[in-house]
Amino acid sequence: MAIAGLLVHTLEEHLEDVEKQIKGMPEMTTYGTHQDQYIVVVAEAPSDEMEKRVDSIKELEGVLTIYTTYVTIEDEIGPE
Amino acid sequence: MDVTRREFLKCAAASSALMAIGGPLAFAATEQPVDKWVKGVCRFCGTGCGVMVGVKNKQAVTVKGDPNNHNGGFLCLKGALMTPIIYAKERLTQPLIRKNGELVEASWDEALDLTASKFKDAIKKDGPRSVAYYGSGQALTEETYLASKIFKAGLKSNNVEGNPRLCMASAVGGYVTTYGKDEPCGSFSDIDAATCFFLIGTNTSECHPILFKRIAARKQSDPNVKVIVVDPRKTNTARIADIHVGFVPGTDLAIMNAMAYVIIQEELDDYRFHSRYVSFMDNKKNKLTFEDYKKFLEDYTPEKAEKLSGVPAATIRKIAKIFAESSATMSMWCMGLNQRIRGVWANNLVSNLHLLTGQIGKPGATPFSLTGQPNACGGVRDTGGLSHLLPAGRLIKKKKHRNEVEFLWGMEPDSLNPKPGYHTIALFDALGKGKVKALLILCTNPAQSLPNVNKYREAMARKDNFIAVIECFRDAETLKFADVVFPAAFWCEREGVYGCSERRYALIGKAIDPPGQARPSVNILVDLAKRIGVDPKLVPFKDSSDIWEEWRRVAKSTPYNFWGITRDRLRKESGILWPCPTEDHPGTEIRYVRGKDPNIPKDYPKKYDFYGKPDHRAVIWFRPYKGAAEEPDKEYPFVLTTGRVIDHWHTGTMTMKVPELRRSFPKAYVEINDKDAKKMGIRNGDNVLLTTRRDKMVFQARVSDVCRPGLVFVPWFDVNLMINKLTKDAFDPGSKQPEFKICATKVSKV
Repeated sequence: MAIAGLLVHTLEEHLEDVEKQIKGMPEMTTYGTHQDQYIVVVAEAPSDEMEKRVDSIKELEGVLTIYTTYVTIEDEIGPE
Repeated sequence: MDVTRREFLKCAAASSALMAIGGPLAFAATEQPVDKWVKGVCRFCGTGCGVMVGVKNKQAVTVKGDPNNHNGGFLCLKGALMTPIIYAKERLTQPLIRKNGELVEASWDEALDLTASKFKDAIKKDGPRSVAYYGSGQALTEETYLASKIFKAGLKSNNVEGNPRLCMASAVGGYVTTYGKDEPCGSFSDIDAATCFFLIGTNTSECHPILFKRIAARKQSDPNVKVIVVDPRKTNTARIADIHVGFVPGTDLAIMNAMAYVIIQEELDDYRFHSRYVSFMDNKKNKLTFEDYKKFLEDYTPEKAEKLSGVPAATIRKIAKIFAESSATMSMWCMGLNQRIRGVWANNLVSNLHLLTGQIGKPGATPFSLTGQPNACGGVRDTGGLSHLLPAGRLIKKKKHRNEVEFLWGMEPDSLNPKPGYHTIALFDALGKGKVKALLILCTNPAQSLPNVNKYREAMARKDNFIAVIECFRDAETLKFADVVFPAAFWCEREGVYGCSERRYALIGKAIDPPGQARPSVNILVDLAKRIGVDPKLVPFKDSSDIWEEWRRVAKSTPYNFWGITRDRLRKESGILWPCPTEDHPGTEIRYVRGKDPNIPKDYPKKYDFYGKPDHRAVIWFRPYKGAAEEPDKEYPFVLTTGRVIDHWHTGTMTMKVPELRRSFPKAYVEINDKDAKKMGIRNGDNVLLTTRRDKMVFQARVSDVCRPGLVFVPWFDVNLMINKLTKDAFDPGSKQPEFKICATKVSKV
């Protein structure tokens, strides 16, 4: 199970709406909106599903792009 | 993993995102999530983002953005997903030798001795010109410097090339002909001050995502900022554009000349600037006047350019005025201009606009070439890793430059070979003709990345040549043609320097050990050189830090001077921009301006000094419109262009190993305009046959309005749908860079 720290970059007028929709997605935790353009999100997913989860955010109206600041795959390759 | 640990890692992930935007830290870190963090640089594009690699139990488990580097902690998903690539099952861990057609495991001694004997035999029988090195803009600076020295000084062969010839050579040609010296005048920090972005031939959003973020953030922070995107495709980059200028592929030279025409007609040029700091020159290098330039531009009225390009004259006028009237215009370009038979001219024409308007040398005002690879600039361009270059901007053909390098390398005067070697296309052509007998390839995949690749795969497949490859992954396409394979340490498995698009050198620290018997490429090269018989005094290096010390000395007396960028500083700081002459110098964001550029004396009487030119003036070139090598015609009516997608990089050797990225784009496709598709009855997902004069191939269709009518696009990462079998290997006569971006094709539904 990978854990990713994401910044969702949106057009200002869509910021709140995008945050609401992300809150409704499974295994996505939001950490507020920032500077009228960013939403901090932590995504949890098996590595072969992470892209699908991230893509579901990309497809929301008003999302410019998504940046990653952190990815750990500790429990996929490291000892438990 | 227990819930507490998981929650802790989630907090660490959220904190990194908050730190990247300078947000409030919601969580106090009571412990480190890993055993140690090691500073490094992303392995992918020319943005050169700083990363921190988290190591736990001697394994790299986490990647986060370095908040102290220019990217401020941001990464794209591709960059953050490096760790699964390190542990890919395809990693090479032991040398291989081809026996009876198969690559089989061998010892280091066997592999090195066999390679050394083949190189010695070739030199003995056919001379130094029969051996060659083909390197990479992804190799470390120290690796390229060393390989270039081994071949040029040790073996007396100037056949030293690398894949930057395929991506950056025209940018080099553009900077050198305009300013006298390579590399950009400005830096990424200009993005934060620009009020107009002129993006031409760059899909920044997909190819340099972190720079796109910075541009988008700049635009959102100031409603007066304008973004002009000039691209035949309406890419994701165009989503933030105030004006997207679609045009007939290959006609951008006419558009930029027409912009210059408008700027002068509207009296928006900065006469004081160009009269003091600019020369006007035609293609025969005759020095001419501003009045001559005005006359030359009469062939490029907006109305005439409209007929060629399809861009309305009113649009050309509008973007020319925005460019000139902005308080600070920053141009950015990439492969769309470089991969052309007149790529150097296209680069010159961008600089022309800046020099005409004085939009240069002020914060936010600069012509900035984006690099495709993480170390094309700092590795290959700066160290002289091409067949006509010597380190730090010196040229092989110049005796003075050769003698300087001979002195610095402890060689006899006039002992370097004065004849430049083969450029990339000529090199692989010579391989096919049996003129090059032994080739060493490092960190690149030419069996997929060369244009018109069928021809050069045949060259590599000749039975009478010898190819050794230093590589990390056993499924790299080029290994099919290798006689010997050396397993290399990857990314953070060894220490070394990358230099990104903005002249920033930064260190990749060693975080973990390489797997199996894999070794750092520097050690492989030194060992191989000694076995071939290179004078050991030329390669007295134990590791990359020794090479860095020599490279600092070799560059010290040149405008590249980075004497102040010591290894110790690199370990402590997150990248430094050269010129940087002393250890207390902070690095240089703006070149050619007194008070900013340490190469200009403080008491220099003028504000600007283009010291790369004998008369200290940059050049506005008279570059006429010239179309593509292969224009569409009745038989092949469409233009085929190629490029990257955001989730994959180059030939997919790395990114196809990440399940997320592989699933995102499992295979190449053809992007086709919706109106063209309707005419041919093609719908999304239909099989479409592309046929060029070289080859043909079937792709699934993606129908949209991204491509303009008459244009189709195919990404080039897919080894199974190798689009370079269809592309053309015509090249720029100046830079020798091939025209990947344009060839003619037929399109038909299967």
